[in-house]
Amino acid sequence: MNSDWRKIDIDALEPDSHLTKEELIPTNIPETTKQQIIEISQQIRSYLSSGQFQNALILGLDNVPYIAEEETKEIHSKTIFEILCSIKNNNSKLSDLKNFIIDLNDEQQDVLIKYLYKNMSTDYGQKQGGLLLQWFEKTVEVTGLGPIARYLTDRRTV
Amino acid sequence: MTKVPAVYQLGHLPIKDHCFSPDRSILAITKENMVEIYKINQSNLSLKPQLIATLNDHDKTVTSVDISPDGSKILTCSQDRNALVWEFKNGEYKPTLVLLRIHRGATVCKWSPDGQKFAVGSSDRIIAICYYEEENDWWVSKHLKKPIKSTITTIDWHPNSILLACGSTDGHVRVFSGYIKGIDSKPDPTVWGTKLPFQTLCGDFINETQAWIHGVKFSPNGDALAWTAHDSSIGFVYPQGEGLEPKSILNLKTNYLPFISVVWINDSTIVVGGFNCNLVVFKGKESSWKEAYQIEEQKDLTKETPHTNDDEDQEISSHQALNMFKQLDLKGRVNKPSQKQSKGLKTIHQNTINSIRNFKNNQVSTSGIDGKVVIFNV
Amino acid sequence: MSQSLKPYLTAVRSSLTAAICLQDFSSQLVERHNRPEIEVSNTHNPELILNPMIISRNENESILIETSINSIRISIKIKQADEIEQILVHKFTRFLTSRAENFFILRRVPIKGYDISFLITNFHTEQMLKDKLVDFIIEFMEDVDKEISEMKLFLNARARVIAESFLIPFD
Repeated sequence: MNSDWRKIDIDALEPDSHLTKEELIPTNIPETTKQQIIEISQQIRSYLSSGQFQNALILGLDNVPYIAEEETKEIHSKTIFEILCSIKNNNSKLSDLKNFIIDLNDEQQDVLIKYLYKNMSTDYGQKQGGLLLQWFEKTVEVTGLGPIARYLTDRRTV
Repeated sequence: MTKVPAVYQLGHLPIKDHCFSPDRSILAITKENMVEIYKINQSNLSLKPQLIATLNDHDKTVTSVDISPDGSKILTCSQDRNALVWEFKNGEYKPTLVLLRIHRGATVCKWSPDGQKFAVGSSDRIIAICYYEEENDWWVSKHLKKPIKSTITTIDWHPNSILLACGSTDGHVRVFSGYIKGIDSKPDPTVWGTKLPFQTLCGDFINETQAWIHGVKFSPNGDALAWTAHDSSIGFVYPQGEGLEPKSILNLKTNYLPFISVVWINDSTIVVGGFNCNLVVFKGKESSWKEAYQIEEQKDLTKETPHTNDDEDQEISSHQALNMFKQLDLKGRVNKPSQKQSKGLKTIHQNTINSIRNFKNNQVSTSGIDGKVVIFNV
Repeated sequence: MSQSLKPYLTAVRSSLTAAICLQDFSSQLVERHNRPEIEVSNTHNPELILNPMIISRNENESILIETSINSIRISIKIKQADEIEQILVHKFTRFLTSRAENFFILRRVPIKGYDISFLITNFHTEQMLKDKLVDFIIEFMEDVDKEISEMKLFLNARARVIAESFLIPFD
């Protein structure tokens, strides 16, 4: 018998264990497939090329692959990044950005903040740090701190 | 009438919880490992309370304090895994031990409205429902365990003293039955359920973000439950009976910093407060809830304004320390940085509000980690 | 203040304000202990850790904010354009970290990939006002840039003087 008492993992002996990382992932959301996200991104591109920026943004923020493979999430996050860049490039004034944000509903604003943080952590996003920061500044001006608190706490990660 | 009948600055240590006795003559506050008992001047609330006793039997931070509905017993619980019931006998407060049987810190404790029992929430993922056992002269407990998966942060009793709501860091708000045979009489059916043996789970609610729950509270008539979570939202549920979907579940997202505590003023008004150091009043009913007003005017927390310490705090703030080092580095001498003129937050509480309680009709009392207890008119 | 620094600092300020919402929390795992959950390997209680935030101004300057229920870790990557700046940043942060106890919130070892880390626990937020802590971090980020470029200028000027005095005999 092993007499090295100090090495015994006593927590393993406890009947009901603690929460695990897997248990934190919400279960009530349907999975999004890669195919769906690619279709959405094509739709968004056609909106963008025809100048319907608000529609593109709303479509992107309404269809979030919360439960999906990492690759799929990546694709969608890039699509959102494209939308943000293309809106910025076609609207020179900063106040225009604000109007886009005001027209979003609460849920969409929360999602926008999530994608801003997400994009700032990627290589391509960091190259355009200034652009994302301008979006961020305007969004917080509109919404206040609520969406940031929800970004922090939300287990539905993008 | 002024908006704020009383502001008590009781030292500078954080006050985790406070409680007034039902006749509002006594105030108990937590302070590190101790609980301090103050006498309040009832005819003139604004006078400074007088310290009459200090309870120091806990050897870790006291997390919660509650006074029984008849005002005779003071209940305290602490991170040292214990709870104590204090009674005033022969000129001093005497503690009685509670057999909690928990192995982690106790986080929160509350007397039931009838004063027969109390509940203690813990980091051990257990709620202990405690009642008095006369033959042994101590308090024994029964455990509510399943399916709690994380630390209990907040509990509240239903007005019928049977149902208990709790919130925890796994993001769940749960309603349990705390019915103890031999202590409680058979409860009348409520909207939460009809048959209520001990440990019945009468409701389990979750925010879509699964954020930590900071505060739960039953409405005065007991037919609704409100909670606050770390995602800055406030949740409401209106159940309609056993086995049926609730009439409505609302999740009101706000743009403030998260709220810690919530109290009901009446069945259609709540007051919340927390990390934004201010109280906010919400009004509504089953169909919808809306922000009514903030009790104090407040500046935008994100805006830059020069702030320095409160007058009494002499300690060198960290950026002054940085300047000091710079001086040392460049010139080789130590300059004690000059105290700049200070300007704090506009609100009375300078730091997070930890607990809110009903004081009397349309008045609430708050305590915060800035060491203040304040009574507000709502 | 340069154009792109302002939105960067604004973003950091609002993120920090939302993130520094800490409370006293005794460990779920170890009896009678109270430890910063962000520093604990969290295989046993992942629910106490929130999503990390990264705010970046460009590839070379970013800040990582990791939040838990009772503590928050802030790691800053300082701009280093060339080798001299690398050396200066290294010396500067070393100077600070070796005096960490005077800074209360400074972490002795930065997180990998970053130059300097702060650790703020609920005990800090209980003693100090939150907006002052935020101000401090912001001010630090402003100053560090200034400091490094000043030192660089100073270094260059000194090198020039030395070079000149070496060259005097050949004049």
